[in-house]
Amino acid sequence: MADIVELLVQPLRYPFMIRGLLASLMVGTLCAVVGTYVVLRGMAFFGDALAHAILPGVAVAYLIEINLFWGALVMGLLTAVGIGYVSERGHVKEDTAIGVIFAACFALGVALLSSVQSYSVDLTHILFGNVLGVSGADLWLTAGLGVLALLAVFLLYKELLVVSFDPILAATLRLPLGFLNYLLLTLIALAVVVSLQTVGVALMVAMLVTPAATAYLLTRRLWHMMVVGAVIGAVSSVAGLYLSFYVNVASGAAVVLVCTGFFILAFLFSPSRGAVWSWLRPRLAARA
Amino acid sequence: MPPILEVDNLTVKYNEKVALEDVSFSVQVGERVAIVGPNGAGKSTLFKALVGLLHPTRGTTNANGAEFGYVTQRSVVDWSFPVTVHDTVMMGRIAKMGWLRWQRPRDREIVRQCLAQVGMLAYANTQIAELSGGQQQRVFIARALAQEANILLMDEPFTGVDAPSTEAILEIIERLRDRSVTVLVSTHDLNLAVERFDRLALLNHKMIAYGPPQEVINPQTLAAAYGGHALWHGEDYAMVVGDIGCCGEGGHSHG
Amino acid sequence: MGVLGRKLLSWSVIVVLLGALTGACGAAPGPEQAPSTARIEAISLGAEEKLRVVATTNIVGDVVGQVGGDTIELTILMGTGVDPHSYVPTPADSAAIHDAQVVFANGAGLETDLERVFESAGGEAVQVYLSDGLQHRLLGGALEEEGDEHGHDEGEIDPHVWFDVRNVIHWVDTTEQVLSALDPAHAAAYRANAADYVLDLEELDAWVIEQVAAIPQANRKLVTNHPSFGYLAGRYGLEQVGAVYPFNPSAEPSARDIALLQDTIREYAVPAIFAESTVNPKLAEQVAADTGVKLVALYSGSLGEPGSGAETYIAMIRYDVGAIAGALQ
Repeated sequence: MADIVELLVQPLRYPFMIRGLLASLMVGTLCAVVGTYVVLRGMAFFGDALAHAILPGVAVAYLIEINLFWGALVMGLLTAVGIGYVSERGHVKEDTAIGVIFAACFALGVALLSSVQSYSVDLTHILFGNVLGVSGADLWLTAGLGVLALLAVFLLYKELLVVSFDPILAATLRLPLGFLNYLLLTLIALAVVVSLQTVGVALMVAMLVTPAATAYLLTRRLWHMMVVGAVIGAVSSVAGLYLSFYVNVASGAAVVLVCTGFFILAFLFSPSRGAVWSWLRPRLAARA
Repeated sequence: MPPILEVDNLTVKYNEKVALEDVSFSVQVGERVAIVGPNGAGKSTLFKALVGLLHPTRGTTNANGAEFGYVTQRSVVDWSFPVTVHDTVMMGRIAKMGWLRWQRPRDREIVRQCLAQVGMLAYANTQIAELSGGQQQRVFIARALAQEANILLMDEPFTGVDAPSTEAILEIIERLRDRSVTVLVSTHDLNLAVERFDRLALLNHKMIAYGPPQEVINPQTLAAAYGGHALWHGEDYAMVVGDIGCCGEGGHSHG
Repeated sequence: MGVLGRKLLSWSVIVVLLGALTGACGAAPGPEQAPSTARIEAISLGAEEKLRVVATTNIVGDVVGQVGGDTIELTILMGTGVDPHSYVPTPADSAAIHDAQVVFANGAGLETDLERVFESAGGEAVQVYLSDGLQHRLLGGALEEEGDEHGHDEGEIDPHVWFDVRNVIHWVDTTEQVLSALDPAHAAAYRANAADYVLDLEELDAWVIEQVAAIPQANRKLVTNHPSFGYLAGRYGLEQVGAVYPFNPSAEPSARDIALLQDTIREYAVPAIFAESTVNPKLAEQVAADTGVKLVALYSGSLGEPGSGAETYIAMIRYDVGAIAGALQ
């Protein structure tokens, strides 16, 4: 027993681990809550696209030597709103519009970064996260944005629910559809930007989708799904970081693998929708 | 008594096409109106224009201050959404609750009453995916009732619903008359429309005919609405075969 | 949303805020810049306790190890084959930095974002950038002028200082001074080790001069995978004329860069391209095949595996220079 406690406590002796854990916790929670909408509205592709599309913003921030975070934020908001606008026009299918925009942005980012002719560029951190490098200032930014986003979800819960479930009803009730839809895109952009530091561009979509998808298999009501998703996101993030500490693997990847592990468990063993029970139930009933 | 709904020369364009052209009619309080017509005639468009989801190019709709309750077509709903029957009906209360407010005991009471009216109170905590077609339809009616709406717009409520549920829905509609709720229903089922509704609106982008069912349905109007491919066999029943060709062009009737 | 749900959400918000507060406050501002040896205070070690030393690259590790010997507890962060330019520390590495009493780094921009890594890891180790105090070369090969240090971005300085053996002799001096200041009890041992090693290095230096002198003047052209041999070239009389990855090994060269390189190879009738163990050789292999020259493997950013012939710094230099001389005869 003492060994387990020792295992848990040992990484906490290092301030960089504590900061990393806090960042991961916050990111895991926020992404899962926002990810609930991503999963229910089928926006996983959009989320991944957004993650890739912020690269030029990060590159420019790097070149003008400001915190990469702001570059990501501006680019994220621009892209989210841009994609929303283009799909509303209706001439190009939303799927296509997203594909075109995100590939172009990502390519622009790579081109910008490759033009930097010195040794100090680190694309790896941007693509895969740098949770060990999280500073106190980063934590404040993450907390601030996280609180803002969660507050929006909390205060506008019923409006966002109706807009996502039945837009026609929303119009009947005279809810501001445009504003609410763009708000949701903004929340997703915020989640993407804060997870840049823990899992990076390549794996961000997992933080948005996997914990929420797992929660979906385990719950029946929307706010249950959010809470369960947040718990899974937070626990996976912490567990992934511990894993990376003891097994010496990349932390972002470890977090995503733990999330996926939970998903697989839920997929197989969920009481209502698990694959295993669906297979077993008729056979057990036949025997009885 | 002034009509609760007046539609005057309504013209609506949708995706560059004229979906509705110069549609005019009026509805009295408590009437049951069936909107019938072939696929793509503009029935859904009419409803969307009435609730303000689409903007008319010309013409007006005047609901005299009444509130619309929209009962959505079952085919466009995401049934895998994690909401229970109670949650769904509570959505109807949002306009009454206002921004930044939560459910109050009164809201919960109203939801319970509405569920009771449609006979779905026992299913309050069931997830909507687990309901049958008829039950889902009734939940949506309850939601519209929870809005405390005066005019109910029901978009194809009988499609894909079995006979007992259809009967149950018709009974609910009947009971609503006592509460002065006006109901507009769009449907494919001409038979049902003729038998159970006060007025019929025969629509095919234009209002072909409007009035009591017996006056509205005759070979000429049916030919105009369904492009000459409807078969009408007397008063006891009608078989309407959408836009399928039978024996060639031109209107004609068989025996 | 139910009452319970609201409570939960409110609590989570409070927890997140508190967490950020503690985290931000708890973040150690990080150790200061490396003090000069005069200001290093001796650490009192227990009877059996060894000085905890961390070295970043394995080349630095080898040199520090030669001076420290068994008297220190040495942890080397980058294993064989790790490219120092793209090295990312694992949590265990950061933990080692945090727990160390002194950290030796190459500096001059070799290890990416080194200051940030140290800052994040926290701890109280003395930081020693071994390349401080050396005369640096710029990426183009030119020497940095005296008093010019602050005028150049770290990104423009060639960090591969260890290919000039005299620089490594300077490393040994610095290492010995730092270790002796931190651990005076073993100062005598450190001094003895350092002196022995310097003798070996001076012998190595002379040997390299001899080897390069034997190469015909016209053949002393180096085409490499990435230009790490600036100091070798500058000190010993070779010339770096081209590289497959002219800058960052993780930045793709453009089509024009490759074309220029092939032209250069043909123009100088270079007999071989030299590829380092730490950089992906695929592109170099292709260039070599296209221009009909040999591809020769060398060690630059990292020592070799056991059995490779380049397991220590001295062995690596002998191996590399031997291979270069052999190919360019």
